[in-house]
Amino acid sequence: MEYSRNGTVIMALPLVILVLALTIALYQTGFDVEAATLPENPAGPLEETLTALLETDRPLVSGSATDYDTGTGTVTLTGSIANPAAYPLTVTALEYRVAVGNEAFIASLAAPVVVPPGGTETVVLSGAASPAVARTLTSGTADGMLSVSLEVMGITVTSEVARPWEVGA
Amino acid sequence: MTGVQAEWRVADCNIPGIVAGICLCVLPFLGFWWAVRFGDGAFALEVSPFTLGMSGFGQAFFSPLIAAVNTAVLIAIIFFGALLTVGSVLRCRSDLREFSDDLVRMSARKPVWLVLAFLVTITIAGLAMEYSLQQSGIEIALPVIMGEAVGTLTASGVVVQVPVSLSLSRPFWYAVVFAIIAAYAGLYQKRPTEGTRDTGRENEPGDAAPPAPSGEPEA
Repeated sequence: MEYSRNGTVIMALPLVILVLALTIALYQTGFDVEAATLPENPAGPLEETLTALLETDRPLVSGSATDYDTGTGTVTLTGSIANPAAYPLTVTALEYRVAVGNEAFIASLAAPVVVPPGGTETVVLSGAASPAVARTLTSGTADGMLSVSLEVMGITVTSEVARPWEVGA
Repeated sequence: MTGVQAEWRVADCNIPGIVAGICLCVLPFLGFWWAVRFGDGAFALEVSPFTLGMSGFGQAFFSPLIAAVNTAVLIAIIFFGALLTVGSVLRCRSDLREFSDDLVRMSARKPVWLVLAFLVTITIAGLAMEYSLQQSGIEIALPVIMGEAVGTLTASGVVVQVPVSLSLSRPFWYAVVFAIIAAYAGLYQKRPTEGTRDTGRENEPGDAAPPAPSGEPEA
């Protein structure tokens, strides 16, 4: 009989501790269940980062200069990439494809570039081009497709957009 | 009660119970049992019945209510671990055998229930997470409990890929082993001891121990 009563007390004890712990937690937050459950949205930083990358007002990548090495037949496009997010961004791949007449020109990034939060980094793309294509690119404008692959803390963002090349833009 | 009945018989102790009891007291401090990771540190959720670690982009998140539940479970499991240890040790005393049986019966199956409840909880959590991600426009089929998947979000020509990995960590498997030892301790407790043979408790109703073979000499 006595053991049975002890058993009831022992079994009730964890439940009492649980109720007590929950009451203390709720008391500390003024019995605001939402604040006690999760005061901040854990997906907030992820959503903010994606919003910053997807809904930026200005293009992430912009071109500024073209250089043609007649010796090697290589066109070098120099541009810049901005990081609107609050976390470091790695440009893992960047490719610019231009069709000039029947010729295609592809300039790509040699190595990944890390852009600091809120900062801008210079990116250099290069590719072999015929003198005709080089002339088109160095003349100031060209229509092309820009493929970008970015990585922010293991999250990959890829995009392919039509982007005219403008020297000095 | 005779002087012989009050003696401590070390051989009668519930050794698996003592081992399981000590292991249960250590279990809460071994670390998290299950982890969900988005990307490479973009979001991480590390849980056990005793802890909840949540971080996103280097920022840690804290839930007072879940922390309270974790603390209560931590205290409860240490409490039941202590009960199991004490009950297993008291089995050495034939006059305390009934009390010992009660303590072991109350505590031996708790770790099994804890592990099962945890598995149910993380399964529901995984399904809730998948539903939540799909509601946010991320196409993903999350594996149940452990595995890897890639969530894809497509918006205006931009494709966002979020690798997700779910894994059970080593402390979970320790918990499974400890639960098995504790459950075995519950069965071991029912075995007749030299002390109970003295008092003839093996013939009491409700005692699961088989009666001594007719040819076996009485102790």
